[in-house]
Amino acid sequence: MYGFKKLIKRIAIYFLLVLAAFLLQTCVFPLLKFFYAAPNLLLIVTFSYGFIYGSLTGMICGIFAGFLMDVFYYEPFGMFILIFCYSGFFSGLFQNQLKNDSIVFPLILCVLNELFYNAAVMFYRLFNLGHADVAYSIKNVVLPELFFTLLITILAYRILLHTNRKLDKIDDVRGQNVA
Amino acid sequence: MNNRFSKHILIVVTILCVFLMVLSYVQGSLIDPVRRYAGYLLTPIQSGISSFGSTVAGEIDEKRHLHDVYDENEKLRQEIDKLTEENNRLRSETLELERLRELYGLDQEYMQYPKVAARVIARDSQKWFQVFRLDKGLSDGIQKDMNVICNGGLVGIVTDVGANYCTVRSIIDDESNVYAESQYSGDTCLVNGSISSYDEGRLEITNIGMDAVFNNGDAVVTSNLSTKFLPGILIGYASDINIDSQHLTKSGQLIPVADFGNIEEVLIITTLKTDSGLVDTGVGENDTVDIPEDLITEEAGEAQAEESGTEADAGAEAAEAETEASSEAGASSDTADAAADTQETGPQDQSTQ
Repeated sequence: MYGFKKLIKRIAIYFLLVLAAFLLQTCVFPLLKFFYAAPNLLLIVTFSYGFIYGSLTGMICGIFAGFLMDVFYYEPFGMFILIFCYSGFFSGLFQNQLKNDSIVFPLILCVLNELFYNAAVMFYRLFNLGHADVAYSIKNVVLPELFFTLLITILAYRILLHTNRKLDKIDDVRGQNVA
Repeated sequence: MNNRFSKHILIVVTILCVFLMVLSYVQGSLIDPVRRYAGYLLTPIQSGISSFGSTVAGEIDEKRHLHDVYDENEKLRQEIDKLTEENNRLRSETLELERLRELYGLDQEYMQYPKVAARVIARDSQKWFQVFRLDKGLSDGIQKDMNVICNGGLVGIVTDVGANYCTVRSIIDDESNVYAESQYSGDTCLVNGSISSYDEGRLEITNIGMDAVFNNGDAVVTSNLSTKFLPGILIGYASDINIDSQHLTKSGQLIPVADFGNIEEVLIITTLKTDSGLVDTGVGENDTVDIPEDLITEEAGEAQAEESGTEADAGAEAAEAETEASSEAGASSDTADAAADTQETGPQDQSTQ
């Protein structure tokens, strides 16, 4: 019974966090004129959680993030859920690399996920529009976004890691008390 | 164990998503309720954050730009003087135009569509899709396919409506194609958005006929050919018009009137293209018939009054002259009576006008 409660609480926290990332990305970042390209905050949250807690958590976050994106855009419903879900799943496969607070592996994951995400979107556009200026898009959309996302990852990953460790500790203490 | 469980979930999610994608691709409106219910939750939050955010950002910008504002103010004052003068001239021309329009029986009054003001509450800062969300929805009478303008120029079209929000796809989006025409020659073209030209603040104009008159600097407005865009809305000005490599069509670029980098408040035109025929004639009739009629009757009244006034004056003078003559020469008073009659009827005419 306690486990189920904990699970629900956890899922609620994931949802609120993803929602916060979504609101930051859609309501706050457009106001910051110094971002030439906006960092993909939802992707950061998804792959970070996948990496820290494993595939299942990554997928849950991915489904939430994708759902919000799908609701926001008027593209075929489910496309973003699929992209983010896969991103969370694959990041979770590298959970065993999480040994210390090193930022190197998350950054590698960030690059891989960004490339995967943008390739998927580009593929969809190619399918939907029949044309895509691939070289131009890579230079002017993908690379700037990648740069800013990497920049934010350095900051956001640490914050996510530490908040979650604290949450885990609180849960552990409570668990012991109950036991 | 955990990993295998994840894989199963992944497969389920994949199948479900592919199914949903196909479903919404074939019949988009099936998913609309989901979007709508999510909108109930999200819109108030987004609305709050973006109004708070824009207040803060606005204050920061305010301080930064104060100096520029002084210079700009000076320039704008001069501009106002110039525009006031121009406005006076144009106003008189508008009256003339309305009279001429009435003569021509033109019902359509472009750009007199009813509008609703709305605020941008969310916009994805990624570049792939140029989509933003407004704080007006079904409860404000917004419907799908309504046109959105800003700074006097076309911005986009409503693609999705919820109770209290609507989503707008701007014309700079890759997926956007607008039938347009040159305001001067009436020759048609297509205005497309594209990522590459948007970075330069431009749109693309394509499909201009080889013998069409399309010059750089021509105002480009939405065409009547379009099924969703109302005719006569200014999009921007043509530039760099060149002949295509196949020598069959011409294409070029368009400098939009709306500032897409800085959209905060927009106007939604609540007339739909599909029922614009009905609404237009109503608006046109009221405007074209009422005002000139008033003007005409007023002017006619004044003219008649003046005429009758001069008649009365003339009558009075004649009466005086006659009475003088009669007293001196002892002639009959019939003519004097007749003159007095005209004197009476003169003012009566004036009062009835």
